[in-house]
Amino acid sequence: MTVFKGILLHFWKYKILIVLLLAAFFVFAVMFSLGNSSDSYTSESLRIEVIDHSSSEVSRGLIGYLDENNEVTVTNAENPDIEALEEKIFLAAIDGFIIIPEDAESRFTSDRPVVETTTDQRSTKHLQLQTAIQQYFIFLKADFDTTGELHTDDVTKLLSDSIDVDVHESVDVEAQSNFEYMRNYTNFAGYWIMLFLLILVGNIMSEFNSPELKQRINVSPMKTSTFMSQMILSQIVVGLFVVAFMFFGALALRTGSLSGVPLGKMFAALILITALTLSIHYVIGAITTNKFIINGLANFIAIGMAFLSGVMIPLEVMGQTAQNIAQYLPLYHFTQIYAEPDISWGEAAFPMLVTVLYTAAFLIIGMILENKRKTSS
Amino acid sequence: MNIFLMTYYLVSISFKDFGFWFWTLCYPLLLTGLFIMTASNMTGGGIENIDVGIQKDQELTEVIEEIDFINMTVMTEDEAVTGMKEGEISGYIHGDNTLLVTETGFDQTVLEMVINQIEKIESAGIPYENYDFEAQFIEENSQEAQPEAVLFYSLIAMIAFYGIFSGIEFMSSMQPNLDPMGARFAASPYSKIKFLSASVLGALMLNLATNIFILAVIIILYKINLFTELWPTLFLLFIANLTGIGLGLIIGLIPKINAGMKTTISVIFIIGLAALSGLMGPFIKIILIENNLMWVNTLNPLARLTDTMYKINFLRNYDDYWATIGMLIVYAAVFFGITLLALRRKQYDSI
Repeated sequence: MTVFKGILLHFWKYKILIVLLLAAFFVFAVMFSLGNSSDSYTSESLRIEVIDHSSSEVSRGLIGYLDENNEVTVTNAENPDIEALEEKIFLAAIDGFIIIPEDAESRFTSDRPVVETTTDQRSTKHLQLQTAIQQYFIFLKADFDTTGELHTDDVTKLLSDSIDVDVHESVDVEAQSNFEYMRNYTNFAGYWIMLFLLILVGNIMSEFNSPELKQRINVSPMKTSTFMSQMILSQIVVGLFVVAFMFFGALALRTGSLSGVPLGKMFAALILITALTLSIHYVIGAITTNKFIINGLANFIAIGMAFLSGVMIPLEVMGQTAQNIAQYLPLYHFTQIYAEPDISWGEAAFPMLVTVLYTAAFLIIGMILENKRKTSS
Repeated sequence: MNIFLMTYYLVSISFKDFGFWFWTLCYPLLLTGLFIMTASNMTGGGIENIDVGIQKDQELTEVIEEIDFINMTVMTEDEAVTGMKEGEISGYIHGDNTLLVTETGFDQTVLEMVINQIEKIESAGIPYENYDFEAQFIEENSQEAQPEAVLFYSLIAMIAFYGIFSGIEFMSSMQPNLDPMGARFAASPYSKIKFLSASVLGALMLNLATNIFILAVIIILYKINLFTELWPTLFLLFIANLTGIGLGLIIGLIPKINAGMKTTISVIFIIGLAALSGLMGPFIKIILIENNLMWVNTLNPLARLTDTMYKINFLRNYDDYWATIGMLIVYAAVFFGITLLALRRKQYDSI
């Protein structure tokens, strides 16, 4: 097991770097999949900033009403940074902001527009915000016209007591929520594993494949098959370490929120993507030992596949061309192994088979290229 | 030797280097094409009507039918559940004005609000004629959300920092213990400052040329108008290239690691900074904003560059333009200063 130990020792040389990078990747993967779990239906809340110049009964009532179902941040600053708020809408960090002018109350009583809103008018969130504000003022005005007084608390109470919304019995909301989190996490973990292994294994193996070392390997009595199996085995050990770090790290983070998550399929998918990555690395290694090219190809393959396979951005929002291309990429089939919370092994078998076939295809291509290189040298 | 002649020689060496062209030209062009393919459909559509199913003879049928933005279809519960799971309808109104859904979403929330409003009109005890549904209580302004644009600005910021590779290459070839050329150079009387200046000048020229080529491809070939403020953007990129080269010099100074591993570290480091600035989508950026971790990107030169580029080009906001330039210059000055100090009067017992 000389080669096996030698390669692992080579990795061990970079242990601090590997652990640091893994930790960084892990943090990114967690950030990528942040979200709140819920066990029942909840209305979709808006992220709104309110600039209240009025501080009146009307403005307090509106803010109180919006705050019932949304994330509202209120400021009374005289000169608020409107450009910063517009930037937040641009980045989709907030859904909109509301300016309540000083004379809001007199505007309300004289049937003039009471508030000023800024939103992206192309989105459903715009419709939701407009509906909420209009609804509040329609009721407040009707009540005011009837009684001659402002009953903001009563209107808020009336509207906040919402109708029944039932989630169909076939849907387990908590499981769905847990699944969404872990699916996003696994998608991103797949991308990171690919990038990490291609870059790290690629670079370390290119050192191992240096001409001096190659010559010593060539003249050694070790059989090529033994050498290859030990090399592959050592890479598999590194791959399994990375997979275990990402997978069990997520399990530790989500303890208690794992019901309804197809963990077995996710683990199998991560193992398969590791095998696929190592086979791609084998092809790259057979083409070149130039670290610039290895890094470049690794980067482009990983980021390209991640984008086109719906790992970064959901496939549904992409163009038709991108969606068509996605189906021919192995990372897309990797995501299909755990595409649904209740996916059976039978249903997962096809994408697993496709990923295995891709791995086999890359291995064969790698062997052909490696043999060609050996023959030519 | 004249500094410009040295610059010419160094540019010639980089010009023949495949790695340089891959990172500064091929890779960014490939990524740009990829982003355009994936992001082309992300925004641009308007609000679509909400499709909803309703039970036969449900009491809200007539009222719902009158609402402009709701498309209503009478169906059974089984048909509705199938429709919801296939994404054809957003909800199903049945029984005692109950909304049945299979998922949470903005469409479902709007439906909930509409049904709630209809119900509350009946239960509020206010005479119906006092409700003015035509009244307009809101003055509306629009600010388009274009988070996908951040991808492109982040990519350009990343490219601007690819001067890092030239910096690493320079330091590796300059250090006598790492490269034979460094040993020959150490024995020559040529000034280190002149050599450093020539190297920075050469790297700057080549990187800026590739940056401009990529911007031209984005603007002319892909017809994406990301740069309404072209000259201020180019000035930013010029300074960012300097900072990138400086960063490469610092990484190049790390002892005992060969140039290949330094390049790997740089690739991962730059990707990490770019991801924080929005290369993988703006969600990481938003998470930082929401968790009061803005300082991470305040210190991140790539994020500062990305932010300033979209602010000046999309939002016409120059508030932090000079602050970003100042910060990048400070970073560059620190990097170059440390490099000069580290290289100064360095002697080797044996090489």
